[in-house]
Amino acid sequence: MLRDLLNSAYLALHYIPWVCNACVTLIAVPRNYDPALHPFEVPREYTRALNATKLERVFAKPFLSSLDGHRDGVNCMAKHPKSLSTVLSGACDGEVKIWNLTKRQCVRTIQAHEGFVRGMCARFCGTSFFTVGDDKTVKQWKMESPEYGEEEEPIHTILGKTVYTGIDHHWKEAVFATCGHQVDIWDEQRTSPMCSLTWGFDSISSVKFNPIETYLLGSCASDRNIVLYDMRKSTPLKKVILNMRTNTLCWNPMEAFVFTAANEDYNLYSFDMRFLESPMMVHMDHVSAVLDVDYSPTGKEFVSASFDKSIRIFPVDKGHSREVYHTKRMQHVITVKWTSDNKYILCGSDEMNIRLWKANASEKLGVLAPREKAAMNYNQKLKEKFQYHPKIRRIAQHRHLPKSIFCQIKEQRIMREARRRKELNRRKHSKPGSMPFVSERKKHIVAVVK
Amino acid sequence: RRKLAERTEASTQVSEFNVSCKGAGEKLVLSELLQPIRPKSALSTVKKELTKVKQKKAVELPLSKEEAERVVREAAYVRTSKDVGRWQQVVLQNRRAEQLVFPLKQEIATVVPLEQVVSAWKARTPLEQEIFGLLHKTKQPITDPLLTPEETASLQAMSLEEARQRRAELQKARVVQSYYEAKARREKKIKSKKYHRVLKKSKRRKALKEFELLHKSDPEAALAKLEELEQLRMQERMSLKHQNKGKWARSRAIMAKYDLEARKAMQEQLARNKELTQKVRVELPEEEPSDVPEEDLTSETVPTIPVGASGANPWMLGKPSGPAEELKVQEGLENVAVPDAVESKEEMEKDDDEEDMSEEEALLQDFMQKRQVRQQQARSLEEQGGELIAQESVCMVCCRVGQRQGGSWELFSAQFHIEGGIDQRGVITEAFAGDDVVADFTREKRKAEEAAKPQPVNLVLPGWGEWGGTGLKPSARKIKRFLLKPPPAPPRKDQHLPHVIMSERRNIHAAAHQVSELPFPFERHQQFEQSIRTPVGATWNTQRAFQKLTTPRIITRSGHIIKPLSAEDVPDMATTAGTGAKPALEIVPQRPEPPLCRRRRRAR
Repeated sequence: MLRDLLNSAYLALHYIPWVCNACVTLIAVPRNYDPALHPFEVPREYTRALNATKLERVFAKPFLSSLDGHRDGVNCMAKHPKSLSTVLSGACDGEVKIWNLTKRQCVRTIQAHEGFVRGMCARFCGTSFFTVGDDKTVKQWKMESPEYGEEEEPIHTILGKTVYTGIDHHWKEAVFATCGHQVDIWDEQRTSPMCSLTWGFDSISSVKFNPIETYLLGSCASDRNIVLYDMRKSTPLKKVILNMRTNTLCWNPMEAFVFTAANEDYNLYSFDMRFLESPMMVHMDHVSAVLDVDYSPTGKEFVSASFDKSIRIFPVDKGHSREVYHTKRMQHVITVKWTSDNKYILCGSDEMNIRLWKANASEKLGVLAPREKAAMNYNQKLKEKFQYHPKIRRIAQHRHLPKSIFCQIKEQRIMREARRRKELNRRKHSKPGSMPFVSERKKHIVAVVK
Repeated sequence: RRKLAERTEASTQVSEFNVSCKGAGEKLVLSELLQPIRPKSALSTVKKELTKVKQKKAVELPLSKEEAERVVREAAYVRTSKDVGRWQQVVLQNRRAEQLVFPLKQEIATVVPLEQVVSAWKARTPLEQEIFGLLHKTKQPITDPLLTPEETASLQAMSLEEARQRRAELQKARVVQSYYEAKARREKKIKSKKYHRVLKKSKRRKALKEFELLHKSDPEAALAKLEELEQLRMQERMSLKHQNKGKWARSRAIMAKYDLEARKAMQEQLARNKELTQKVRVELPEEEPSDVPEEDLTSETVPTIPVGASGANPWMLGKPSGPAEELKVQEGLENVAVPDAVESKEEMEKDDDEEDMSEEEALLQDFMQKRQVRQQQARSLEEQGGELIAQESVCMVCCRVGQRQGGSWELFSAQFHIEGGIDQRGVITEAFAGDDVVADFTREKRKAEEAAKPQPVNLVLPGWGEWGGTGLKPSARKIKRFLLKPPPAPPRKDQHLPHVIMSERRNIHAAAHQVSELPFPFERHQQFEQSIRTPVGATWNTQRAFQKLTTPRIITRSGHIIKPLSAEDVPDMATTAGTGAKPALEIVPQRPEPPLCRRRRRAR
């Protein structure tokens, strides 16, 4: 009896709440799976798939909220490496804001620079962050807000000779890289760069560290090239020149050798670092210059922000986007980030707002019951299974677009068709073999410089 | 001090003081510079060095800065792409994976042992303290709440290894027992008398052999055994089972006249009886075993002392048997009197021997016989074959003779060749003389037209509104009413085209819902159709299968940060990446398959 008492005491102390599956799901009913008793499986599943697709469109409400507070266009953003609810943003008036996403409000505001905040990045441990601005300075700030009565001051300020246009922090070490006239690699403890990497002279718009092979860097400059660097040897590796300027690039966090470049010619190019002669995939759908790109942490998709006032989500292995987000009030989107839990997308745009979107437009947020989850999985599978059927595809692909984008798409289709026709005619009327076919992927590469 | 003469003129002579070339565009030669130092021996070392220098080749120009940088870049690029290529396998694996769970590094939920939890916990309230006091008093376990000291002791009594061994032994014994039981049951079921007879005999023989062995090795035990046997025999004798008085024996006696089997059985029984009732011979030490008579019916009345007979039974203490002559006479008498019996017995023994032999060699004999038969057959076949071959050869000879005689076939083929060369068209028409292509086509077209015509729909159900049953036909009125005639099909498109068949089987209404092109990962339309045909729903699949079929490709946990891939996430990468050494598996960077160029094929 005593022992029983003790046991009950243990139970009361260390009660682990758990839910048994059998309680949640209904009691199993013996069931006859004879196919003769359940006929018309394909038509029935087709109908279910159609309904699921329709429901997906019905429930596709990706916009969650907008974070307003900036007094000028949002120029750059940074994710907190340790906290999902924290995000940092820098505006064109030199103001930096730290946001709490769960509360959807600004936690802290810093007047960091005079002029634009050109770039910002958080330290890998999440204790501080760096900003670069038009005032030729690199500043390091503490992540937590100052004590009461304390001045809002940077930990370090480095005054450079030229304007820095971008910054990125190493993923594991106390090293960061800035870009401007050259790519500089800095030790956090020093006021002069460890090494400066140059190849030609031009303004470099962005520099990014490879998250897997952390010694690798990629940069894109305004002379239309993308240059890769190796930090270990402190040399550039290779340069690929495209038709038009690349604005930013982003490394795939799950595939060490893959990066995607956001180009001025409305396209994005996914490159395999080892084969720069032609991109792995050309992602086209935007109707204006692509300004920013960020990979999902799973490495299966990426999101791109464009001057055409929309953001698009592309699967890495598809040439066209699976999703487009826009609102009436969203202007040119300058920066975009995919949160580290693969759930949300943040975009900062010209009209001073940061918008929070769901990465999966029709996803139900919050905890799902097991049956709900099973139904969701089943619907997803059905949609995948019947995705090639024309009626279903039509519904699944239908997106409402603002008139400007819609018309632009139409116009560009006409232009593309005209170009194609002209080329066809030229080929028809010239000597056979004198006009070789150039694949879409090769078309946009001007040269690869060793 | 000597004043050095100053030269103001240019001279053509070359010396250490005057370095000049003769004409414009000419080069200075080292030997010319060396000329003035010839006479002086002090400068010989310098001269030597200079000659050495002359022999050496000029060093090449260093590379320009751009070129040098380029070389460095190329080398660095090759190395870096090789380093990055280590991830190829991991990346491919992730791309192909059926399911990926993020974050990749899963925290393993550790189960804290109960003892730890308990040791951390302390009794605070008076009730708890009281309870603990009680537990301490009764030596109830607190740190290890599962076992009392007695329990642990009992656990320690037998080690796990021992227990396991014992269990295995028991298991084995049980298996063996069951095996023997099964065998016995099987043997018991066999109905063959012959089998049982043979079995009995072999058993007897075996027992005898064993007894002999025992006799040699352990006479005491053998004696005991013999005694036992004697006891058995006595019991048998007392029962009088083997005399021909029983019901079965009498029936056999009746049947014995007609049935050989019955007679045999009777004889067997008699022999057994004789054997049992015969006097037990006493092995006397002075007697030789050969002298001992085989059997004696008459001597039954004079009982001898059996070997194993105990002295306690006075009835068993008989007088010693008669003298040896008497025995001999009796033997002779017996030999005269019952020759038949002896003969029969011999026969029986023979039979038995035969049986034994057959038991062991029947199979062999069978095989021999079969082999012989086969050989005979083969021989006969060979003979036949030889005959056939002979016939064939005769035929051939005949043919050859015929050819030689006529040569008509060769002639015919030659003619054919010549004709073909001259008039191809004629030959073709001749070859296809039987086929009327045009008529065939028209027939085919008519068939297609017929097939395309809409068929009437039969909705006639027997028995509704009238009598039903076997052999009853629905009425004409009903047939007329329920045989629905479809509206006539629209005129065919190939109506006025006599040489064309246009298939109108494609239903445009259905085609709007059908997939027109084969989607990318599929290579054949059958594959795609199969993928559509297999249902994934819970209506058609078991719960487990349904769950498996509908698992999502990517699983993420809400509120968990997914970090970029690192060497620690990949078990086989961790060792190589940490040391920076070469990976165990060298991966040659391969051109990834271009995903854009898909082969497009038509799907129905």
